[in-house]
Amino acid sequence: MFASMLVNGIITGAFYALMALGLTMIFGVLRIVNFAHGEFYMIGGFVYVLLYHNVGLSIPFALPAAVVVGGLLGWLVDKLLMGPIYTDARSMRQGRDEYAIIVTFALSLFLVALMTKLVGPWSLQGPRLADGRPIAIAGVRVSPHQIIALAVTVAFLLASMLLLNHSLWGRQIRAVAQNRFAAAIVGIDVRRVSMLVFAAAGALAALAGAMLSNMISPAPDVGAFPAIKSYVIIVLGGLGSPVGAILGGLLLGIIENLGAFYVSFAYRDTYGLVLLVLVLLLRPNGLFGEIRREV
Amino acid sequence: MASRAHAVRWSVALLCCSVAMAGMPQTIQAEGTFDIGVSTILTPPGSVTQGVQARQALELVADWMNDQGGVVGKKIRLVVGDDQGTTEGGRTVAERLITRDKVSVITGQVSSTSVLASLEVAKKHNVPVVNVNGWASGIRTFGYRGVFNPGPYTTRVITATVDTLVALGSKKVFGAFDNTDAGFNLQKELRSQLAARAPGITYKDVTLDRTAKDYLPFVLQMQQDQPDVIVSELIAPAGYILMNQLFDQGVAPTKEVKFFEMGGMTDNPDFWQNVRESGKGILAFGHYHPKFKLPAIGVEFRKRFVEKYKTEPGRISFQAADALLLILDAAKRANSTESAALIDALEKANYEGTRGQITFDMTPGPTYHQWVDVPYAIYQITKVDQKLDDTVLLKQSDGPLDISLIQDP
Repeated sequence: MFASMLVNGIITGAFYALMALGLTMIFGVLRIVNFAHGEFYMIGGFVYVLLYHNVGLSIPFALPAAVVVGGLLGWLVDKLLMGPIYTDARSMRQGRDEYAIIVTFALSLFLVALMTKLVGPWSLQGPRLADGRPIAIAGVRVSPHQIIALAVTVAFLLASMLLLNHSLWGRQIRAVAQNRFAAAIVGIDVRRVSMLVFAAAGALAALAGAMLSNMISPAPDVGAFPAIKSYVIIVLGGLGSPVGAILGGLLLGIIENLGAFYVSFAYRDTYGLVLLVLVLLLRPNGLFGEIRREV
Repeated sequence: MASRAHAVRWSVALLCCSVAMAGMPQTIQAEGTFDIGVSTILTPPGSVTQGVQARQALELVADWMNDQGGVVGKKIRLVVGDDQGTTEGGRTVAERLITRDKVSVITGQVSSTSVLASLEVAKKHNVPVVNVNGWASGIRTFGYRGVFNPGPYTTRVITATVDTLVALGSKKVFGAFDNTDAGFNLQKELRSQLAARAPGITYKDVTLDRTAKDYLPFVLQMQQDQPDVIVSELIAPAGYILMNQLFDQGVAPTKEVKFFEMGGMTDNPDFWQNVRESGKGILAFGHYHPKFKLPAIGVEFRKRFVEKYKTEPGRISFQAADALLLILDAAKRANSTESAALIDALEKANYEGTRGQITFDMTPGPTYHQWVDVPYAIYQITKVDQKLDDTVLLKQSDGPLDISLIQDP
């Protein structure tokens, strides 16, 4: 049973990582916490489910469409709401975080109310990525849906890390995350990088929403759950660290599952928070966070 | 400065839009109307599905009766508040409906938590509450004279559940309850009734957070320590998630492990939008089944409901309709819409509602001011997308349980 719980923890953790990766990228580049991140997840879930059930698109089309809509939403949010605040590299250094917090918080409420009006307060279950009863692998039972969802999630996480580490855009993102001012001086368009990061964050969150829509039916308020988990993960892993978000997500998933099984289900969400407190006490910058030094 | 102004502009605009879309409360008092407070769930964390069903039924009955001239010369006006199925929501909405909107009676509550929270407020102002769907025993055992219960109650639900478990020949049962007042109450009652009436059944249970999205650790526990029957009280959407995860892991429903749904979710209008294969084969407890013999007013209500909403009414619809019809009947008999007169008249109710002849028990305890014979059914869902009408009816409240009709999933 330990193996089952471990595997389930890894699967859950992979989804958590997918949700948290975009949030930590936004923090890395803009130094803001996007309070509407959970709503990107919710919109992704709804787009996927509605395209599948109401428009009749098959999964191979509905899933990418949800990712594209999530990306577009992220891009729009940056263009319309963040762009005028962070006009250049200098303005990014001037501590505009409080405006971003207010704007993204308002956006979160707006998107929840909008979806409630558009699709109603109901939850809608998404389709399975594959039908069939669970398969037992070395005594661990996993459903075909979980296997495919995990494979897609891992593929996206790997692709994101490859892009971040080995592509020109990835280098630009990392450069802006390290020092926006210096990045601007060497000719990187920090506004474009910011938009790219918001679009990527929207796309990743939307993908997570779509992938989980079979197990966690999208509803207008569903975003609160991934948002809270993501905040815990990015602090746990180290604010702004993509590797920290992935490992933090996996760690949280495993701890929650083992704790729920071996201690008590009633305190499931508490285990992650206890871990967070311990990490903050022993390593205040998170597991992979760096101590920043301004000169 | 420009960016500061920009941020403030966007924030204000977004917040204003959110508030506008969420719906502004009704505050205008009308002259010559019978103002009835409706406290129900319109936004999470409570079951919005149930709240919307109640609101739809109440609005239908109010319009229907207004078309017939209203009651005691007044038009019926519903003043709606969203209690979210929470303690703070239940208390705040009750306070606002009574003190600001000056309603003389409150109904519409679909969660035990919000009913319990509103009781003290209603008692303080001597305003009657006609509870639509609060199951918890505390609502009755407090013995408040102004509270009336034409809907389901814990003792009845659990008695029927234990009867079913015994008839199924269960040896090992696992219960799943949510962390609400109704959940705790049902959990306690099931433990106690099983210990008294079926000591041979090995029983365990768990409390699950109704806002959680992943019950897999619990599901895997069921996989390891397989029971004969899993009994679930979780309401939507938590109940849907649990059912899907149990099915995905191949735990239930199966030939070996039956799933008994006693939270009354199966006639929710969004049931099949959220539950597909995992709904096939489950046993369900319900307070309404289309095969019930309905009184004339029930038949008429069902007809009007289908015409207006293009869907079959569920148990909550009937319960809400009866709550409002009882209030109107009391007003008619008292020839008054004053709270005190309504309480007196409701105590003497003997009214043929949409589901049967409703009277209220006066015995102190868990059936105080309760319609004791509230009907119920036990049925099995045998196909995906199955209409309630086509489910296999295993038992009506006044008949025996026929387990020979049960089909393997």
